[in-house]
Amino acid sequence: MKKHLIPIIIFSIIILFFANLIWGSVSIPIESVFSIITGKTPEKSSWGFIILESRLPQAITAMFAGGALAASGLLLQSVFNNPLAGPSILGIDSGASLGVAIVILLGGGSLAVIEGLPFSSGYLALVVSAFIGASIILGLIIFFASIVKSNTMVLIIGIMVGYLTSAIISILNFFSNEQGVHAYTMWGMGDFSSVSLSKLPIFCIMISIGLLLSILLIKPLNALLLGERYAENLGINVKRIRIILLVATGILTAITTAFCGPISFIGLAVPHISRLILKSSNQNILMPCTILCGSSIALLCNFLSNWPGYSGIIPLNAITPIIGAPIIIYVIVNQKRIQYFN
Amino acid sequence: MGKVEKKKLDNALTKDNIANEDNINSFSKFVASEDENVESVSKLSEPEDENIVLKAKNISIGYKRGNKVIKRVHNDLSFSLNCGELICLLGPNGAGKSTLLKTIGTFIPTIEGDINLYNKNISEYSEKELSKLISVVLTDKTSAGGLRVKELVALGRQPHTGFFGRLNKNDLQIVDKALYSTGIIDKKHCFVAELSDGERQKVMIAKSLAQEAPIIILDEPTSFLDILSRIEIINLLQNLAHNHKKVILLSTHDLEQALLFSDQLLLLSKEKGLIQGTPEDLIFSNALNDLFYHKDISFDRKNGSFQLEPEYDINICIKANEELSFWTRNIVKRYGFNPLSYDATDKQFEIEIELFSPNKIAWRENNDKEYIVNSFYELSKLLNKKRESLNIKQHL
Repeated sequence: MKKHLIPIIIFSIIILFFANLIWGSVSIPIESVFSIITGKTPEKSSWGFIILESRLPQAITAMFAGGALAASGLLLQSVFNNPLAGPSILGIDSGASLGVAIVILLGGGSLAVIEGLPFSSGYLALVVSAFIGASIILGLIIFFASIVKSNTMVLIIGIMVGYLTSAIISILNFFSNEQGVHAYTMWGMGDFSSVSLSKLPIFCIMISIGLLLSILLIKPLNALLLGERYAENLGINVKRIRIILLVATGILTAITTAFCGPISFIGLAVPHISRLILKSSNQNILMPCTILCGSSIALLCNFLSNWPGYSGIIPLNAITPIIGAPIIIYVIVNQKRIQYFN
Repeated sequence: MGKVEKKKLDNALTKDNIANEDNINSFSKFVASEDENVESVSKLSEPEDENIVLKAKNISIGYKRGNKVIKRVHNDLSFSLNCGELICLLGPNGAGKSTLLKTIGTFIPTIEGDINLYNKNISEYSEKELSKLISVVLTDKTSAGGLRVKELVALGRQPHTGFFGRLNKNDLQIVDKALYSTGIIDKKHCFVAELSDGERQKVMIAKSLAQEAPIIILDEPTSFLDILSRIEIINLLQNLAHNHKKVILLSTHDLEQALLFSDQLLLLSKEKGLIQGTPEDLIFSNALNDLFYHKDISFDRKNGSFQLEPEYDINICIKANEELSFWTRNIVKRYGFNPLSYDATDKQFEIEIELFSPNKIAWRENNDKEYIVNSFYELSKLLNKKRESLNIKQHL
């Protein structure tokens, strides 16, 4: 096990975190950025606002959301015993999207969920409906997985379920008003900036609960590498663990999706990245490494999406596939040589 | 179980007695040695009851959903597993071997009847307790390729470790010992993905050892292995049974090895249910022959394997030393004739084959013609000629 990798990843998180604070559509000198963070009064009050109200929450959100998505991907890969499972490929985040769509599109005008969605009651509705949507899809996939034994077929069913929810969302779009459609489209692009400083604590607490559950599941997850019956023989209550796993996955996917929109590929690709660099499937180190890698890569993606500076931002979901898809293709092509596939 | 066996042995001894009475000269010698025998037998069988680790009495096995029985596989099965014994479960496909193993491994409950483990009903144990008493080696596909060998074996410590599965010094020692006992210590740092099938099987057995359960259940542990790995694995299991005083229960289709290595056999079939016994006892009580019923195939006690009935009703007497006569029987059977050994002189035979060496074989037909051939190849030509002449006769 390469234990020295963890400090390297943490270091990259710190670097990327500050890069996210320094770089943006308004250029602020590095010294000012640091003085603002350390609590000194900035030279321009607008700079203070930009750093503390926009860039800082955005970076923290990216950090937590990335870790959450990566962890939920790893949990799903373990529970389905399928290295190509992930929240987006199994349609879990489209389930969450459907929940969100129902709230935004049907509640459209009345909830005033446009432009930053300021009302906490609206947000609660969003989160709860996202969680319900994600859980329903998870339950559905598990039901299908119990009938269809082939891993690939389960993935295809996941993709079908994804299409199905997208279709329902399109129909909802059709019946919704213009404001609702606009709000939903904005949300659907994926964005770490939509968690404001006031909502940040609740976001971070909920994600932390999900991450804590994932950390607590390390021992049974290791046993599950041998399959359900071996795990059972090692004294693990597989049914109970499965339920906790699903709750954790549901929380992590639903919260990030509700707040940041459906973000693809981080959940699928990051567990592979960490397995490849660690050269290990041992959850003792894989789980923490995956969470940290997720944070690091989400920060990188957020940084890249702000790259154009003055001329606006690139949607997050235009960046994550560029990083994620080649990795998945690499993994599939080389699966004969990659240990954890065999 | 112990008592039954003692009775059987006593019976066998009295039979011996009768047979030996002919030989008056050596009679007194026999009496002396037999008295010793009887004593040692009773010594052996007394602690046997204490050796019983698991005992099932009249259990019914099968599958339930909730409280409803979906499929009843067997009724009235009784057996006992002793520590220090390698026990092979044999039976034709579809006899319910896996169902029985699943039941003993507590993956599924019994439909009726109790299984007692250390004199306590198995259903009274908690999952955690059971994981320290019964360990399994399955044929399930795992995704453990990305684990190192020592990490996989360390998973066997899970029932003993705390919430986070942290391994202490003692755990690591036990893992090393398990790796050492299974002869896989050299591969300690390798990835499981890099191992051969035989090595993987050893790792899973090491995992079971690290679990420190007195019972190890293995589902067809040798089915995908080549002949050397098979012998290696079963010899390893025998060692664990005899030296580590484990109960080793495995299902297998490898009859030859089961007969060679098992201390006890469990024969399971739809028709006869479950029969338990020492391989040799089961062979002489014809239980093995009854296990796999086929009109043209039967168990050949001389070879210890199942063989086709001879095609032709022609006896061929073989005169040779043990090694040569074994292979001569082999070739004679291949051509569909019935080989007789030289001492079975009361039976009529048409042809006699005498072997002086593999390169000097005498063939005598009807006691008049004699050919000397100098290889099994030439012998095969003679056998073939005989067969063809018989075929022509049949057609006429």
